Amino acid sequence: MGIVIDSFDTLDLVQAMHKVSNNEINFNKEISIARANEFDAEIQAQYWQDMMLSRDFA
Amino acid sequence: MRILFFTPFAGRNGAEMMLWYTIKHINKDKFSCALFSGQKGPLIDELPKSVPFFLPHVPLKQTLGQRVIIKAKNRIFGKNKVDDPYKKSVIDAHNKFKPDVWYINTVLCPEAVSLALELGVPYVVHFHDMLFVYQHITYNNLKNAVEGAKLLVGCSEVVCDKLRIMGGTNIALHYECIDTSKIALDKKNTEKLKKKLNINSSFIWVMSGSVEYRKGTDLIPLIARSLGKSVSILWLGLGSSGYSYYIEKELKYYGIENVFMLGSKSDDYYDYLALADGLVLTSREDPFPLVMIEAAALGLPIVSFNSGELKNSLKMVWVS
Repeated sequence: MGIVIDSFDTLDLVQAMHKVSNNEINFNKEISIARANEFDAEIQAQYWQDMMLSRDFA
Repeated sequence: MRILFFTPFAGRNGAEMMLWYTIKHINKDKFSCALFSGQKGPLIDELPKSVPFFLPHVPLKQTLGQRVIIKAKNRIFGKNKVDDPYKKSVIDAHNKFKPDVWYINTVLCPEAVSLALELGVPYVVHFHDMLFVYQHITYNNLKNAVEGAKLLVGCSEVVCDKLRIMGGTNIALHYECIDTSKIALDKKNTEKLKKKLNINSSFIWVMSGSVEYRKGTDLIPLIARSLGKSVSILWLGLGSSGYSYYIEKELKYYGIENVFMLGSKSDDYYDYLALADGLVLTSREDPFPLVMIEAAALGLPIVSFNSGELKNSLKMVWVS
């Protein structure tokens, strides 16, 4: 997927950007796409409906 | 279940996009939905035809003159005896639709929370935000949102943690979502856009979000200078404040020509994202940025600060 910088230091972010643009990280496009598809609206809307129907708002 | 949704702008931001996607995919046999929006934003035209929508009888953003008149009437006749246009609009919508519950999407609808309490209507508040937004709403509005709701929904684990800290009891986690069917790329258009921008960089980074301090737009000039001229950065998102003016001037001051501030570009949004080789998220706080999921769906690598504890929220396959 990429790199998360814990330090909040802009220069650390830049360094990570260099790593990505120089192909210095293992990045699997297929895993990324598959993971993103789990957040598709159709799937998430089902979770949302289950959440709402399991509650009593009366 | 009959639900009246409340939303502030009907604009193309993560929280409201999520609501639209949900409404679009909702099971109509189980739910009847209507929407009350504080403004007639661009998403109103994209509501399913079966979903009635309501707007305030007068725009929520009152002019100074309107505010002075209402304030003066309140003083003379007492607050409860004056026709508050927002209140009247909501009550009209409520009486017409007769919902079982109000679903207040974001804490940026504090008027709806106050009114739900006043009328004794059960309500849900969906939180998409954290401290940067809490500081822009009043103490009592946040208190009412947390303490009076029948259900609190957080868009990520870190948001749910904040709700627990504030004493929220009935909390559910519901992630933001994207409509993957909309990510249909037009390669010709992508090439056309690249030519239009006259980009010949070896690597293109993209960021999407409003031009604002929370999103860290002010870090872009330093990032661009550090990366050098062989790399380009595109920023998709609007901004019209003094903050935008400052950034525009800083880019000019340092002679930075490889940063493109593109505005909203809603029609070509995914083609602009696809034009990039990677996503950089400069946000100081972003509990669950939709653009991250969109970039992942396009197979782009992402570099981000741990804003909103992204590692925990997404449990994605990060390599660091």
